[in-house]
Amino acid sequence: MTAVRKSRIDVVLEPVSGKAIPVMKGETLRISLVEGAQHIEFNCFNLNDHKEYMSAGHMRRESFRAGPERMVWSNPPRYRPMMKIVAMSPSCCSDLLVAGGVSRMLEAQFGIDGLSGFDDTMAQALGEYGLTAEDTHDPLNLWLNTEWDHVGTFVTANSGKAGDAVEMLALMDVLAVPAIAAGANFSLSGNFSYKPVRVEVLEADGASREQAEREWQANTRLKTQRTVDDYKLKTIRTERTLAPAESYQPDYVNFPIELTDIDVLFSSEELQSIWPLRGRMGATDGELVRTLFFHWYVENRKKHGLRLYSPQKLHA
Amino acid sequence: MADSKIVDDAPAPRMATVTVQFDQQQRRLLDFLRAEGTFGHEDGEIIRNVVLDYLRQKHPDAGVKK
Repeated sequence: MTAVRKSRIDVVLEPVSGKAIPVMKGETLRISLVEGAQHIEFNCFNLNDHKEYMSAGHMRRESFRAGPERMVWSNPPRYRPMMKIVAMSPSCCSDLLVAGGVSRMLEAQFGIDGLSGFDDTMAQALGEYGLTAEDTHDPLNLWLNTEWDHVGTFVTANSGKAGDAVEMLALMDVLAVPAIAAGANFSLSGNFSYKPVRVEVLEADGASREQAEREWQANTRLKTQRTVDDYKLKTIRTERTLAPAESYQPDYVNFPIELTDIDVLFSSEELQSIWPLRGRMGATDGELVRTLFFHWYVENRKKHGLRLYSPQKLHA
Repeated sequence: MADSKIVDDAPAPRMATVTVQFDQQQRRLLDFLRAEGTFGHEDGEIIRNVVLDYLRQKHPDAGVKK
């Protein structure tokens, strides 16, 4: 865990509440369990542009769970590191598969109306900053012990213990929104009871500012990194009804795709060594040769790209 | 005949051409490998040598010579 730093914010979230909290670059958000097992749903927005927000889907591309050294990535086209998970208690099982439980689901399953849902709790917390229930996005789930099989996901007993914590370093100014997960009193996500959660913002110091800047620079320098200036349309739509703009012409990247024929000369002996792979890796010899080329390239030259952590280290 | 030159009468290997289609994005990878120089300089030469290297890595029993 982070060395002791002064807390700028220190609040306890009571069931069933959440809190939208600005966390500035270099500061650390610390979420800890007060009494034990409690599932927490987490949303995150760029504090200076709410159209940029956490993409659970792109975090899920790296793993179904988030852990130490992993990033909170923002949605494309920006796809930037918003926060970095710098510490996570071993008891914290995170999850990026399960969408927030909404009250309609709970009503359908238990026949009880009036239960709070993810969208209800999140919307109340977001309202302080003018955002609505429609601005919520798929959460990063903390202390949600999910498993999955060929049917889908299911939840097992929450393994959280009092005092366990997760810490996330802000790499940009963000609006972080932790919330007590809805339905924890009706499922194993909270072991059938709600419990409070403590949320702190630890002030930045020289080391945390330096780390935040280093991580930011390392992950935002690709040529395809898009900004609002790159958008064909920059205006945020305000009308709810959609209608086509008659003058609009899309400008697809690399459109049209142009194919080039390349003759590749093989000896009869070489070609015979390829033939056993026909049908499995390509319907024609041309497809087969291209497939083999790309298998080689992926295994021998493809870079890790944005995934700068070591999977071996994480799963050690 | 006694003065005839000894010639290597081993038949030249029979060759076959495979036509492969790459799009403009895929060809960027050929540019990278061309700059690297390890696998040749012509597109067809690079693809051939990469494929043969892959077969040596993954299918050593296929009999592809170095």
